[in-house]
Amino acid sequence: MLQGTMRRPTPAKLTALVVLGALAVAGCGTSTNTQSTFDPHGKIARDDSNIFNAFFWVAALVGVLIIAATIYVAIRFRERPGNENPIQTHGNTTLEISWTIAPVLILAVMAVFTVKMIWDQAAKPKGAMEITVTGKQWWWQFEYTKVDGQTRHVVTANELHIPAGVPIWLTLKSDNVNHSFWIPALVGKKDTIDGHQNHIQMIADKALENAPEAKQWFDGQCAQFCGLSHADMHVKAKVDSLAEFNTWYASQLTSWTPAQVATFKKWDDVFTCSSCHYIQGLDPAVDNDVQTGKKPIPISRGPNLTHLADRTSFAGAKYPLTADNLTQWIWDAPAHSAGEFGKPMECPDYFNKSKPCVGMADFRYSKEHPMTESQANDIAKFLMSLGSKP
Amino acid sequence: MTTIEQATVVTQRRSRLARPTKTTGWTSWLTTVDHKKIGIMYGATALVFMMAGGIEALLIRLQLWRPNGTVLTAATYNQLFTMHGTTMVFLVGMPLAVAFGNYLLPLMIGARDVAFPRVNMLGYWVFLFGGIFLYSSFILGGAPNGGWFGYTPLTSMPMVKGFLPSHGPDFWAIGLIMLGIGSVTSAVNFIVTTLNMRAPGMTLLRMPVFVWMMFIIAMLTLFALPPVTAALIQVYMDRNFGTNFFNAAAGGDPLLYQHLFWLFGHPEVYILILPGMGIVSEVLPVFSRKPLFGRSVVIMSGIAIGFVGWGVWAHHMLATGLGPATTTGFGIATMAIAVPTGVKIFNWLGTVWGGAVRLTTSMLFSLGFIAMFTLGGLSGVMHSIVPSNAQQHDTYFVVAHFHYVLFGGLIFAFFSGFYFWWPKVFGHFLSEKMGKVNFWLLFVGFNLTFFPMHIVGLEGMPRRTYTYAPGHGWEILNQLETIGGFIIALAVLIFMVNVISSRKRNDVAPSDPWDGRTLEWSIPSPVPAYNFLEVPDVHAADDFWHRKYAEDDEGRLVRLPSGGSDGGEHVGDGSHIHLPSPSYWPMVFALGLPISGYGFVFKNWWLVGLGVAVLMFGLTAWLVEPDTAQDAH
Repeated sequence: MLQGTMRRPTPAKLTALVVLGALAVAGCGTSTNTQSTFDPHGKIARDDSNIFNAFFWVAALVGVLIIAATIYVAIRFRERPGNENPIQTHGNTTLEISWTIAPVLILAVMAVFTVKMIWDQAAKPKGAMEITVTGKQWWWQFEYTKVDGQTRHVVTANELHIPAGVPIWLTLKSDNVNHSFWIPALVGKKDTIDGHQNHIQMIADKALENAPEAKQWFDGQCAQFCGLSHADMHVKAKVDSLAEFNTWYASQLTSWTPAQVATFKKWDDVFTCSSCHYIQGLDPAVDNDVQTGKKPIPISRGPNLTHLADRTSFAGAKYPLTADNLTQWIWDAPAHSAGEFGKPMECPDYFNKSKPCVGMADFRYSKEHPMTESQANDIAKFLMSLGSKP
Repeated sequence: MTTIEQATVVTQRRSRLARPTKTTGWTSWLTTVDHKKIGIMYGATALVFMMAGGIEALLIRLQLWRPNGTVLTAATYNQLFTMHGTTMVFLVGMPLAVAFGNYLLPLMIGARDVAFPRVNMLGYWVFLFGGIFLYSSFILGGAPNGGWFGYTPLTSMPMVKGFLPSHGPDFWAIGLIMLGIGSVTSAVNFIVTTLNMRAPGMTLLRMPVFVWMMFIIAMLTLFALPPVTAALIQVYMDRNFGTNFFNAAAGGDPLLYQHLFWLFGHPEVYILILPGMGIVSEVLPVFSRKPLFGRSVVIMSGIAIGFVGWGVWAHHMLATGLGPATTTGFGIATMAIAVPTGVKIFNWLGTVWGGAVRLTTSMLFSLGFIAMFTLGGLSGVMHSIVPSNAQQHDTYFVVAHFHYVLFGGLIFAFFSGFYFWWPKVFGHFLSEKMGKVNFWLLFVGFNLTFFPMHIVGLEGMPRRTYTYAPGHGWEILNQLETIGGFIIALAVLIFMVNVISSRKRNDVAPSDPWDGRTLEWSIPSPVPAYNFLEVPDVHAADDFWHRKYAEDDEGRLVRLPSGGSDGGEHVGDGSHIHLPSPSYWPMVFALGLPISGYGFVFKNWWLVGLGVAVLMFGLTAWLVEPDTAQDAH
C-alpha cells in the first residue's frame, strides 16, 4: 500500500560522534534521551545536526583561539620593570582588513550551505503524506488529511503515528495562542500561529521500521510559551512499519457501536463530555463528512476521545494512560494540571458551548453536577475498554 | 515704565514657584538636576532592581533543581521568569547604561552638565516609578506572566476570555510604555548633549569610544521605542477595549506583534551591549598603557552595528514560518552583523598586545568580557544557520547564548566600570582584594550556571518551562546551573560588602588613580558640582593622556616633565560658575504617570484623570518656574 521513498540514511558524521562523546564525558548521557537533537532519527533532524556540527567546530576553534589569545596577552604583556612605556601602536590597516575579510569568508561559506538547506527543507516532498497539526491549550491535535494519495480524515491527539521512511508534509495551525511543534530527534520546530498556516517536512528513518518498539518512540514538547501549562504540553511520535501504520490508521476510522454510544450517553447527558470532545459514532452523518474531508471536526476543545484507549498517554502526553490516572483526571483535572492546586482552570462555564474554555473541568467540585469518584472510575474504565488492541 | 512694572509682577508670581536651593542633604537628591547625582541614583536604583531580578532567577533555579519541582507553582514560575526578563532588560541593563552615561558623558566631553538637566531628572523618576509600578503588580492581583516578550494573542486576549486571566499583562504593557517614556527622554538628552555640549576642540572623532557608544544607543533608543510602544498600546486596547489588532478570528494578525516587538527588541539587544563595549574600550587602553587599537575602526564598527542591527529582527522569528526567502535574508544579515562585532574583539586584543598590562579587578572584568562575549557571539552566529536554528530556537541553548552576551558581556563590563570609575565618583577605591574574589567567583559561577544550558538546550529542554520530566538526562546539568546561580549570588553579595566596607575604610583616591586617558581623570575625585573649573581645550583624542605623555621616535611612551594633573590645577572654589538650579517639578510630572497607569490597569478613569492632572500640574509648574533659584549665583 504505502511505499517508502527514502534511502537508508548516511551514517552520522564523525563530528557528531565526537560531540556526543564529549558530552557523555561531561556527564550527560544522551543514550536514553528520546528528546535530544544529538541523536537524530530523521532526515531533517540529521541535516540540522550535520550543519550545526560542521560549523560548531569552526566556532569552537575561533572561540578557543580568542580565549587563548586573551589569556596570552594578559600574562605575556604584564607590566614589569622595563616595559612600563610600551610602543604606542595606534592601529594597522593590513591587520584591520584581514580580520574583517577572514570572518566574511568563513561566513560566506556558512551562508552557501545554510541557504541551500533552507530552500531544500521548504519544498513539499512529492507524494507526501499530509497531516495537519493544531496547537491547543495544552495538547496537540493531529488530522491526517492525505494518506497514500487518498483524502480520508483521521483525527487524533498527542501521539503522532508515522510510517518509517515516508515523507510527511505537516501543516501547522492554531486556533488559540502560539505554540511551536518540535520533536528534536525527527524535526526542528515551527510555530503554530492563529491565522497562519506553516509547513514542515518530516521523514523518519526507514531503518526504524525494524527497530524494537521502545526505540520507535520519540518525545517532543511545545517550544513556544503558551501560558500556564506550557511545560506540560508534550507530544510523542511513534514510527511504525508500513504494515503497523496501515493497521493503526484503519482502526482510527472506526466508530463506537450504538451500544457503546448508549452507555456513554448516560454520562454525557450529565457531564456534557461531547460539548468539548469529538466522538465518532454519536452522529454517523457528521463522521462521514469529517472522514471524507467535507467538513472539519465539529468540536475540538478537547481531544478526540473515540480511540483514547489506543494511546499510551493523555493530557498533553503528560500522564501515562492508566485507569487510575484517567479516573483522577476525569474527576478533578485541575488538581493534576499546572494551575494553582485546587483552583479551577480558566473555564467560566463548562456547560456552555458558546463560551471559550481552557482546560478540563473540576467535575468533582461542580455545583450543578458534582461527580463522584466511582462515576469517574466508571467513565475511565469504559473509555479504556474501547481499544482496538486486545 | 509699563514693561518694568509687568516684569516685576511676573517675578512676584513666579516666586511662589521658587526653585529649591539645597544641594546637600538627602532632600537635595529629590530635586537635584546634577547629572552626577542623577547618574548615582540611576546606578543605585538599578542595583536594587538587580537584586530583585536576581532573587527571581534564584527561585527559578531552585524550582528547576530537580524534575517535577514543587518549589513554585506554574503560575508563580511564569510570573517570575517574566519579571526576571523584564527587570533585567528594562530596570537593570538600560538604566545602568544610563547611570554610566549620565555620570561620565558630560565629563568625557568636557561639559558642565547635560543639555536638559530637568528632563534628565524626569527620566530618572519615570524609571523609578515605572519599576515600582511593575513590581506593585505582585500585590495587586498578579505580576506580568506572559513573558518579557509578551507574545500575542496570549497577552492580548481580553481577560474574560481567559488566556492570561489576571491584570499581569496590563501592568506589563502600561509599565513598559511608561519606562519607554523615560528611556526616550534620556536618549534625547544624550543626543543633544553629545552634539551640542562638547568642549572646544572635542571633535566627534576625538570623543571617547564610550561616548560614541552611548550616542549610538541613544539614537537606537529614539527609533526603537516607537514601534514597541505602538504594539503595547495595541495589546492594551485588545485586552481592554475589544479591538482586534492581534485577533486572527476577527482579521487581525498575532504575528504583526512579533514584527513590531522585535523591530524594537533587536536594536534593544545592541542598546544593551554597546555601552558595555564602550566601557571595555576605555578600560583596556588605560590598563595596557596603549591607545585603543584601530580606534576609528572600533567607532565605525559600532556605527555599523547600529545600522545593521535594524535588519536582523526577524531572526527572533525564524520558526514562525516567514518563508524561505525571508529567512534567507535575515539569516545572512545576522551573519553579516558578526563581522563588525568580530572586528571589535580583534581590536581589543590588539590594544592589550604589546602593552604594559596591570591586572586590576577592572581589567580582569574587561578581559573576562572579551572571552565571555566572544562565546556568546559565536553561539549567536550559530543561530543564523536557519535549519539548525530550528533545533536551538526557544531552548536553553538560546538562554545560554544571550546570558553569555548580556551577563558575560554587559554585566562584566558594568563591573569593570564600577571598579574603574568608583574612585572618580566616590573619591575612594573599592578593595582590590575583594574585587578579585568578586571577579573569580562571578566568573566561575557564571560559567557554571550558563555553560551547561548550551548542552541541556540541545538535549531538548525548552525555555520557559516550570517543570521537566525525569529521564532525559537533564538533572545533573540543571543542578550544576542552580549551584552556579548561588555562586553568582555570593559574588554579587561580596561586591555589596565591598561597596560598604570600602566606604568605611575610605582609601582616598587621587584625581587620576589609574593614569587615565580621558578628561574625567583631569578633575578632582569626587567630581565637584561644576565638573570643570575651566572648560578644557581639547587637542587630541585621549587629550588628558597627551598632556602627560609624548612618544619618542620609536613610538615609545615618554612622560612629559610637567604633565598630568593631581587636581592642583583647580584654583578657586568654582562659586562663580552658574549651574542649573534644582527643581521639584520633574518628580511631580513623573508621579502623574503611575497614577494614571493604575487607572488604565483597573479601568478607573477617575484615577487616569487624577494622574493626568498631576502630570499637567507638574508640567505647568515646570514651565513657569523661574530660571534660577533666587539666591543662586
